Amino acid sequence: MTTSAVPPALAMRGLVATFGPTRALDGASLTVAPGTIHGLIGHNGAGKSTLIKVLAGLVTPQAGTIALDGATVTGMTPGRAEALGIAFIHQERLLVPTATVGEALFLGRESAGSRFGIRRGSLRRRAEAALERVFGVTLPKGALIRDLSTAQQQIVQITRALLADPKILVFDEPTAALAQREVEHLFAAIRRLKAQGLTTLYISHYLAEIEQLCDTVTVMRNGRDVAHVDPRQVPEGGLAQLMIGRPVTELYPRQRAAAGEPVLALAGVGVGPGVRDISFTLRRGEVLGLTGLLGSGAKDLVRALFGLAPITAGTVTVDGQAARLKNPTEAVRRGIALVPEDRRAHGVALDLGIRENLTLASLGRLSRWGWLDREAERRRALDLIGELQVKTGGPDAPVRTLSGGNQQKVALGKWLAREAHLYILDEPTIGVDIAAKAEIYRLIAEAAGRGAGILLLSADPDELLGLCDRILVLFRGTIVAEHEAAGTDAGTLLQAALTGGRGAAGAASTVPAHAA
Amino acid sequence: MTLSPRRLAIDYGLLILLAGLVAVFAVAEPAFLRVNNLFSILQAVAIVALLGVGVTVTMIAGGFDLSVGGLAAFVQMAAAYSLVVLDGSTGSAILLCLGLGILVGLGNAVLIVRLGIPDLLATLGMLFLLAGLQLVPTGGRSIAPGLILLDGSTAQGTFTDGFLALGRHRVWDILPVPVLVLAVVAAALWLVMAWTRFGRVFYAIGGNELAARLAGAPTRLYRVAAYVISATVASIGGILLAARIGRGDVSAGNGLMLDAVAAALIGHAVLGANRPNILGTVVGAVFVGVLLNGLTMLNAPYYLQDLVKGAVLIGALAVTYGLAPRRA
Repeated sequence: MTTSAVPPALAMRGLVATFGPTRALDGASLTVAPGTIHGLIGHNGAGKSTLIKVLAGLVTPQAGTIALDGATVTGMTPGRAEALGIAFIHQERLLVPTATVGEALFLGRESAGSRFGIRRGSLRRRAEAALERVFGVTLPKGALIRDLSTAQQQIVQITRALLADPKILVFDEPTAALAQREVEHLFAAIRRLKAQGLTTLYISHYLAEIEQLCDTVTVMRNGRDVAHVDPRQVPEGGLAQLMIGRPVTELYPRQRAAAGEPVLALAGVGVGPGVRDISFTLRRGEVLGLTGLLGSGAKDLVRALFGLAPITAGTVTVDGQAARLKNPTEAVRRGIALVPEDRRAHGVALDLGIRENLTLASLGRLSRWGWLDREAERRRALDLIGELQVKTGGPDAPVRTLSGGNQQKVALGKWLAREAHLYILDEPTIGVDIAAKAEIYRLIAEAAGRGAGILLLSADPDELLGLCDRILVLFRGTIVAEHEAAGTDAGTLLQAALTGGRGAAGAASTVPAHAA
Repeated sequence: MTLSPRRLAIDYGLLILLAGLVAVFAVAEPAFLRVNNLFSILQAVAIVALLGVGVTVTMIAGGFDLSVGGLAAFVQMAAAYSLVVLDGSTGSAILLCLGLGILVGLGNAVLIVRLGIPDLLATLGMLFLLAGLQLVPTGGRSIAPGLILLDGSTAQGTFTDGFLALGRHRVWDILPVPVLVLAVVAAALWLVMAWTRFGRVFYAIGGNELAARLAGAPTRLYRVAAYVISATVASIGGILLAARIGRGDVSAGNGLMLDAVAAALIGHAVLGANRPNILGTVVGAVFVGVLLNGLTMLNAPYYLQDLVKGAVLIGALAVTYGLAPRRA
């Protein structure tokens, strides 16, 4: 490196950081050339966030060095990072909700350009100029932060970071809350900043964004940097393969069990005013997809089958017996396993240990006369941790200490411990990185292979096509199309979901007959 | 796993401190270590510990019960009323007290689980309600044998020997009955909470009620049970309180609630649990008792008591929240 004319804007070398028994960084390095947009990718728990926290001075590494423009920096703190010209834009909104846009932009810099505290006029003009320059947008300057949309708040945050004239701008998953048009604005702004000579470090697990935006990409896996590539030179799917360490073609396991007895049958089911006349049959060993746009009623139907909303019409039959699913307890007693969408809020107890979460739904078979067999419980938990490949220091670590993807595996694992014969999964892979996705798909396929029936609610056509045998499309509260996964494609599904099935002629009338 | 000083402080800090206190007091005042004195300490903390154990059950289920102090005082008055004014038997007084306790627990449960009032607010309301209600039958006066009633007649009843024994008798001349009751109640609840699937569900509800519900647990039923258990244990505390003071004292409940809640919170820091636990609560109550008893023996002025309790509570909270491992 000493021979190169320009030293890297940022060079992090051989970083090691451990949290208790978890090794978050295990010799990770990152080199960013000045004036480039540098992507950083890796699945949940790969160490991206920890690396950024080291750079921000929030985590002190046990080993390794940081150098900026060739000069080594020791004892990094958040204050130092700012003074050295590193600005961070986090996915969380770190703004005072009751401040105005102008106040939020200049918080902590009120006296800049003024000898006597805040000068409202100049503050406002500078805020307008900054917003205009970066985003080409105007925000209502007098508006309070809490009245802005999430995307607008993010724009304020980015603008605020730019006002400090940083040398390196670090984006941590900035587009998670943005609409497509806003994402394009953001990218245009980042490119404009690059033209002005700014160096950008861009962290995301949306691979398409990385391919579109970045000059160079560092891929992290298991706390190390495992690849350094130019995303434009990498073939389709190459980045994903680098992230998970094996080809993506293995993402969807193809193992098909012969469909057995009906495990769930709906006849003329209605849920409130929004969902009417839903009929279908799910058999053992079958993966049945359910999809529809927001407001199509698919979500309401699944909630009702969870016992979270009342079924107002029709009959539900579970294992050949009529079932009134008036609450989740009843649903679980019927042998239904429920994996809700928002696992952090509904799926796991964050402060309890992994073991306690994993065995929560199967306490009955781990105890006698109510008395827990702790040894059996521990063995079961360890088996599941191994099977799910949960990355953790031990079975008693609080779930809070796990990365997002691993928390989701625990939420799903709770039901694998029970070996239910009917799984209702609500968006099981949303917000999960591609490696955890592959794990979850494998687990779903295995459950089906064991003879469980699986109802999968998903908005991801690839997931539906890759995993399901049949797919039902809901539109305005009724089933408008039913497709064999093998005989359809993403376009057809989307068309049905968007338009109510024009193009899938007569589907609306033939489906109930088929389901009976 | 190696024991770092920090880990040691989290897991054993309070117990080490307790042992240290005992050693210091024993050296400064040899009488401190006499078996009789040790049981006196336990006797003194038994009621607070019982109430704390009740609060702990609601905390495990993710709630809170501020009404335990008011309930214990109320039950204490009810016991005295039953014995002195109604001239009831020991058995009828005890049944009345337990019945009232269960009723109050169900009342709390209706407010919190059914109506959805936040637990702190509902039980704070109940606390006031009970503190006021206990004054009504006697027009605000304490109850002792020979009490002149509101209609001018004289109360005929008295505290029965059997009832008084609950607060004053020492089994084998050494083990006070309240300590025995505490030991039995605390052991039973500890076994349930730490070793059974039911206890696990209580903890899961405290961790994330919806997750527990989606795992098939009838969570509302469990939450109702938590408030009924808490109130029942508090009413046992009220019975022991009446038996110990031998009359119905309108001011007997002062400070009970805060002491009980403090014991439960101190208990979070015992053995690195970092969460409400029955054993910890008992240790927390005993810790405060040892400290107060020792200081009294060393002639520390009584008015330092609250100061000492506050310091202990803040220290324990610092361990629970400040030292406990969190991921950066």
